[in-house]
Amino acid sequence: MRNRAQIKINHGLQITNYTQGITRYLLIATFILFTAVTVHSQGLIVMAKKVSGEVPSEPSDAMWRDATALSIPLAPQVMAKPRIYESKIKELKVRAIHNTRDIAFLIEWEDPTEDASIDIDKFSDAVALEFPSQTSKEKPHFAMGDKENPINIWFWRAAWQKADEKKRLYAMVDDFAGGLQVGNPVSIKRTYPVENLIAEGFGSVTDIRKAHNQDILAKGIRDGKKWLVIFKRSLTSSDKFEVSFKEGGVIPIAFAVWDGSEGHRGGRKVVSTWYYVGLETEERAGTYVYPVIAFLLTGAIIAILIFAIRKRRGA
Amino acid sequence: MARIKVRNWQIGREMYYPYEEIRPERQFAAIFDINKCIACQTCTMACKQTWTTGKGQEFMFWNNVETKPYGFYPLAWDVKILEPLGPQKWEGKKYAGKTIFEAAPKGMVSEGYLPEEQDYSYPNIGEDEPYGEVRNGDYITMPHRVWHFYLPRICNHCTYPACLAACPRKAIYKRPEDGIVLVDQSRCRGYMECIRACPYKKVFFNRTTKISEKCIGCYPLVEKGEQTQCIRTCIGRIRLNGWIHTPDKADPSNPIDYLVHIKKIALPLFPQFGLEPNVYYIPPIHVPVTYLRQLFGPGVEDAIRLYKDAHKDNVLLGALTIFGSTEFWVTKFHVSKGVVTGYDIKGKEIIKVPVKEPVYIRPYYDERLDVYRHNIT
Repeated sequence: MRNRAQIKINHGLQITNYTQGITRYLLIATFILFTAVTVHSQGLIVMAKKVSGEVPSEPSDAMWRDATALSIPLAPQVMAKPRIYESKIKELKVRAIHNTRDIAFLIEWEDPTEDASIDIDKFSDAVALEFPSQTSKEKPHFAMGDKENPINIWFWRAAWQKADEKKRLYAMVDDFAGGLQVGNPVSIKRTYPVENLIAEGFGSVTDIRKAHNQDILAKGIRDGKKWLVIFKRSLTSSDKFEVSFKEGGVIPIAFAVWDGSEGHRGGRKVVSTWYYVGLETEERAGTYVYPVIAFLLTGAIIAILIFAIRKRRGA
Repeated sequence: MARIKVRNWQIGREMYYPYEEIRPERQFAAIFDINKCIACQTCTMACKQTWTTGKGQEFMFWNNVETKPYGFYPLAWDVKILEPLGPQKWEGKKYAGKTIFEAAPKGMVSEGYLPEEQDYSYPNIGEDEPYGEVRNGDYITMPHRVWHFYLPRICNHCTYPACLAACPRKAIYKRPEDGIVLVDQSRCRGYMECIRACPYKKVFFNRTTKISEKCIGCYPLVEKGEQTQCIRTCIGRIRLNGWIHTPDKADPSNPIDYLVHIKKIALPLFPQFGLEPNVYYIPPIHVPVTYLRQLFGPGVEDAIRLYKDAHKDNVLLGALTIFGSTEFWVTKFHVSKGVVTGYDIKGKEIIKVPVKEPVYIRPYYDERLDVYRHNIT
């Protein structure tokens, strides 16, 4: 059993970089304990379907029908204050397509209320994809990473999507608008509904491109009571803080959704733990399954340990 | 976030706060004498003209003057935080109840609420509305049975700011050189956690830039040793800027320390919230103390008694005379021979004002001009 676990780990390509020291032992132990559940492991990896033409740029593209959707359960963020304990948003569905040059993700979730403006007491619906940054030494903590292991976030906001459609009501000098003068990315006139962020822990997100020269294409549309949001980018990135993909590679991915009408903003959000995105080759998807489940279960054990320690400290 | 015990002299005990007690080298403070405020809103307009004429700031008043008990800006701000906090107790000068940090709901840094957009739409709501009805045959008693008063408000540049504590991005900071609390305009991402947390509702959302803004204590003026716009333009001369120390380091020659710590005539607004606010108020002497105690804590009766007897105390009168006598900061004063002398931040003498204005009586008829005077004093 043990040998087999090791072999499967080596199949995991980039993943092996994240397994060192105690994590490796935990991983093996976890693997032995939980081999039985591998039957369900297909539910832990988003397989980016390989296509020969262009990847879709629209959420409504017919190509999405052929990509397998993976359901991701979402839970309220309780790691850092301000915390939330309940939300109407329970899950999202993710699909991915790549063509060895570009990769596109389609995120779909149910939210009966469309919140696409930001004002006093009004918040915007939003969704984010999280990946480890290329500068990450080990697999980052799914909750916003840390100093050693930064994360890269692709953040789409409904209010930014709508911003272009709004007209200026009247003209006035901008001299007193501090946010505009210092070029705060949330204040300036937006040309993209998406931000490319890095983070090294809670409260540290930074827009690496200050909302200009954005290389991520994002677009969201309403479909009845649902949001459909697409993210598209080239596989590789020259920026060391951003995530980089390659065919046959497996990269951790996590998700967050904000519901404006529930007052979600910042840390008030629903989140997932790490999942994986695998870029399909001619090989079968199953190759990726064993290492992925092992890593996930390791994460689960660590999370339980952290929870136990926190609980003990709290008491 | 950790819960650390810090010393709050205004509530006479230690309390919990997310960060340790680090006091600035000098702390910005102000005293407002409510008895002299006529709600002319000159301060409001001076502030507005200077800082908030931009887009997205239309309903933003870093300085406002509201009528109490029925005036509010934003709407019902005090009631909406007092209610969730519930009835709390003082044991003498020690607060036995919960501060907003100690009463924080699960998962939050403090108790608080987020105002609605409409709450800012009527900045002068409740103006001049008194408590009680004037009945047939009513006459004035002290305290007044039918009363109202004006409460001028700016950011309190608190020692333990709730806005700073609540910001998950640490975009709010307290300057070590003067204790002024500022929102970093490049770091803020508009989560409005500060707006929810500040019990005084003195952090505002800019509807254009989508981030938070607040009173900056006119720091460009303060850096030059000058008083803030709202203070220097006050035509009622009700305001005074200065540095405040902790009570154990109170300097009797510093007018703020003298009035707050030595005389205890000026009191903090809602000290029970636990923020150690640094704007102090001389309570209105005509208002029933049951209401004032809730606003200014247990020192209200003594402060009112002292204010009524101020005419007997030349030093106290001298300190009160500094109000509105100069646009510069008076860091030291002394009173002798009926004259108060004030010194600026460099110790240079800047004012000499008689504590009691001399009265000159002129003849009813002016022979030189051949006119009769309407006013002979």
